[in-house]
Amino acid sequence: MTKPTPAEAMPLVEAIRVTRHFVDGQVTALKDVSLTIDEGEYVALVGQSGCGKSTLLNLLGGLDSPTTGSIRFRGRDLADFGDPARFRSSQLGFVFQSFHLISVLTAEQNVQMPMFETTMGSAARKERARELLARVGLTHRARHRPQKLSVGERQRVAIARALANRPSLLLADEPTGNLDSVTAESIFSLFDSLNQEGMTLLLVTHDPLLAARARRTLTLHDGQLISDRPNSRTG
Amino acid sequence: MILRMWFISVILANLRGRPARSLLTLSGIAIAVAAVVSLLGVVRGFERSLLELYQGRGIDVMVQQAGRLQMTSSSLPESLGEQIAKVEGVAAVHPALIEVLSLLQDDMMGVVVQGWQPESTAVRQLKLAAGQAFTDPQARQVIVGQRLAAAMGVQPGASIDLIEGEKFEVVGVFESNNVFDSGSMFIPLQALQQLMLREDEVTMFAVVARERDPDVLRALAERIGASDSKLEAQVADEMAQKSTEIRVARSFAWLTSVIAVSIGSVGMLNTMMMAVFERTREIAMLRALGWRRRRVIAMVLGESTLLSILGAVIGIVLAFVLVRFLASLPASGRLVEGDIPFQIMAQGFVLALLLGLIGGVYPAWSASRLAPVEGLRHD
Repeated sequence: MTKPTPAEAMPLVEAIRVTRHFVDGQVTALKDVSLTIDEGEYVALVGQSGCGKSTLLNLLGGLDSPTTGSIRFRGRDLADFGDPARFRSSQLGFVFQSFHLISVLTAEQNVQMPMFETTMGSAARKERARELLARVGLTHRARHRPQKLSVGERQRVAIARALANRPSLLLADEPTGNLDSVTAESIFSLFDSLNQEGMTLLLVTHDPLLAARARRTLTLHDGQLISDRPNSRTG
Repeated sequence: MILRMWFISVILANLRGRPARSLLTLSGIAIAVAAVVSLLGVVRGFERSLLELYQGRGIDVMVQQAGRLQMTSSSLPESLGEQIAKVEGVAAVHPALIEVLSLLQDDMMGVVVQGWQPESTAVRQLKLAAGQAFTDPQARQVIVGQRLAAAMGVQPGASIDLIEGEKFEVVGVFESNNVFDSGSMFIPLQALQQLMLREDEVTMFAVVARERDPDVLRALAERIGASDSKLEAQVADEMAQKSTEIRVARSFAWLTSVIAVSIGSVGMLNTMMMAVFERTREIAMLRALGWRRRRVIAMVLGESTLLSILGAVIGIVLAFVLVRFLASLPASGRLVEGDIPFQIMAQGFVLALLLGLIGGVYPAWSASRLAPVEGLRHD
């Protein structure tokens, strides 16, 4: 194995002593959390409800800002981005528990939505959307609207959408929270294969089965990171 | 460019996906545009007809009693015509008595009855569709405009009562594209004076000038006005612009238009605010996926603009149909021309676009300011 270059050695994303207060400082969602995630890692973030998992995910994804501390992406502080939209568009993919698909658009159109912020033309965008739908096994559902899809299919469309702009980091918040076990397994497999292809994943989950599929588990409790350990499962 | 063709497909999908809301907004804008375009169109037609009324008769300067806002309330001795004829630059003077009589049932406007001498330019230039003109200055005869003849159901040879028991014979029917002319009737001056008990009285004098240069006509009008304190003279073309009826109609049309536009703006603002509110999570999700603020603004404004354009097209078509319909009715056809000038349609279109912008700007701005985290939590 070759020695990593300095750029490769730099963490993909890094939280440095991050604290997040809400309601004028009366609620502390996160307290002095520091962590790093390297390129190609597959990380599960676990903890009880209300422990701050989603808050941390939102901070790492530039959807929210820490009260104190900083979030860095490839060494650059997210606070330096005026509107972090461009950063999210080019570097991140989001998967939400409730999918958040646009009901009036077809599966193919939903997958295209993040591509509007790229220079891709119409034909390239359509081709990429079809390629992604094929990747998640939904070629035959491309022209269906979300209400015509099963919940598992909706989540797969949401994952295809998250992959649209070839993100460096995929952030998923309870991606199998609304799915039955069989459907959840198909999503687990999809995440496994994405990671095997080199994608960095950070999944917030309650699901111990999904957490066990990751290579590393971070545990939050009352807003503090209490555990950071590799999983016994290996590739 | 943010508004590429393929982005418009997203805007269209958003509008098509919420048909009830889109149709309601569309109808609100269409009704506002139809109201404005038809009202302004009717007034503009009214104005144009009044202007053409004088131009078409070869009349250059109109003289009426000083200080009278409405021509029909003017009253002058007929003998003043000789004095006016002596003013330098005057080629001919034609006295006229204008009365408004109630001849039709349920007619709120009345019928304009114009008393002219048989040899006057106004009578000589009438284009007869049937029958003949009158030649005797005292004859109890009338020539009726086509629209009025249709409304009254008369033809040459018919007899009509101008005032109860005062019978006049219809000797001719004239055609005119001018709604005022076509909805009026001509009668020998002396016959009308006798009928109205206004012998030797006239409403106005129509002056034919030797030269028709606008500056020369203005100077002539000033000379006539200065010749007698009872007289007020105006160049015929300018008189239409200053006419009280036109000014009142214009003010009324603009007032109604402002109300229609205000209602349209509030409707659009309400719809677009609702559209943004309903889609808070969707917009927050788009921001989370990396959509920049200006793209969110472009999407919301694009939706409101597209609705406005469609509303404008529908509104203009509605206005056109409405004005045509009004022109075809006997009661209103004597006042309403069947056409709407292109300029008014263009104004209606621009107005609709403004409605879209006014109604869309705040919701678009509001949507762009939405914090993704807050929006994603929205129920």
